[in-house]
Amino acid sequence: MKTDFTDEQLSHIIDQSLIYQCACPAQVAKHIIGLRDLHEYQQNCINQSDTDIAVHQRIAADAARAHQALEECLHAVLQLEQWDLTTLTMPNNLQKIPRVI
Amino acid sequence: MIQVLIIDSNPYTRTLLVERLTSMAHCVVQAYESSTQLKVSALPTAHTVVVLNHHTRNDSPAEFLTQLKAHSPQYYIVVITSPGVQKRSMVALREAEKIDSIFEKPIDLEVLAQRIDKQVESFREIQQLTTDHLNLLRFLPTGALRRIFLDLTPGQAEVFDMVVMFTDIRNSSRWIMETSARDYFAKLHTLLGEQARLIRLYDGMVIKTTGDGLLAVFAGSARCHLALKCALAIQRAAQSETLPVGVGITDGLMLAGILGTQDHLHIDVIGVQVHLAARLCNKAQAGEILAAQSVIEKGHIRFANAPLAEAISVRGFDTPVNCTRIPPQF
Repeated sequence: MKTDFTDEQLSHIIDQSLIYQCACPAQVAKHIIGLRDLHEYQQNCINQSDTDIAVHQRIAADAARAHQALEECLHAVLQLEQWDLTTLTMPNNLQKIPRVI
Repeated sequence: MIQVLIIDSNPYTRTLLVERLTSMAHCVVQAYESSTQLKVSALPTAHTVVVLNHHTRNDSPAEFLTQLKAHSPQYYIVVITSPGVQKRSMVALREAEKIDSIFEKPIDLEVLAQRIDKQVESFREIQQLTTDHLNLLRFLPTGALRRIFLDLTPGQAEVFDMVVMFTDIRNSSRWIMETSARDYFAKLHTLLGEQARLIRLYDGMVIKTTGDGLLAVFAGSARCHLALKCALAIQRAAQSETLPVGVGITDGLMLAGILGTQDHLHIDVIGVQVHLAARLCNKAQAGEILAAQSVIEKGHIRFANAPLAEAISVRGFDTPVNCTRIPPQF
């Protein structure tokens, strides 16, 4: 399955979104990780009949399509929110509380 | 108070965690940027909550968390992690019982706070139960006598070979007339508290208070020696308080058991030697120890002021009892 974001990049986006108030890109990233898990699971699933093969192939193909759509979505959302696309750092104005301890 | 340690390398997310968790009751929150700031061996082993917000670009916390749990299994360790590979590695740690709880990012801070609050409450209950337990232990016998409590049936008793000692503060009737009840009680508490401390110091056990004195027992092969040393120490302490004490000591077989009802139990000792020790205590002069001859023979104590052997008539006993009067040794 083709990927634009690495697992590490997705986790880094999620890391910066600790709480739900500032977590829209993180929600998308989380589902992308879920789709990757689903895709991998289908690849490794046991096939005992032709139907099994068809089922697993269908799910894997649709997971890949959904994955591509969500990766494009994440890219667009990060641009809209003006994240630093090189470092994937959340802009300060999205952080809930600016004070540092 | 329960200590809550937050470890989070990101200043922003650390702030969010600290702000929310410091608002919880009964907690003291401390925050750290990195686990390397914590020396595990120097941390307290008491009940503590640890919240680690793990970031993908940090080093794996597995070794640190393993050390932490090994240092104190009483720690409640919460890890906040992103899904996927990071979470899977944490799930493995949880299955190995190195951590207790995993929160997947993004989290609901309120749910996290509720979980920690529940844990803090649980720790406080454990602390209270531990305190209660230690307090209750102070009401129980020590040493071999404790086995009586294996069967908490009223009337259940066992035979023990022990020394029994009664103490009694002399002139207490006059004393109570000259002071207020509250002052009398406070003074009595101080004097009997000191006697009880000395009894414990010499491996004895207080069975009960008897108004102006105590009933104590001593077990084991050195019981006569220890009981005499203890009686001498009590006499010295009483002398410094200018309130003389009489002491009676005997040795032999007696029953120790549980009296009362299922709703109210107490330990007591019963037997001829107990009666005799009480009578000897009554007959002892102020500042004197009156002991059965067998106690003196087994005790092997060298006295500064020579004791006086005497056969004493005791109410309830057909023949005079061989005793020794030990005068004040100071």
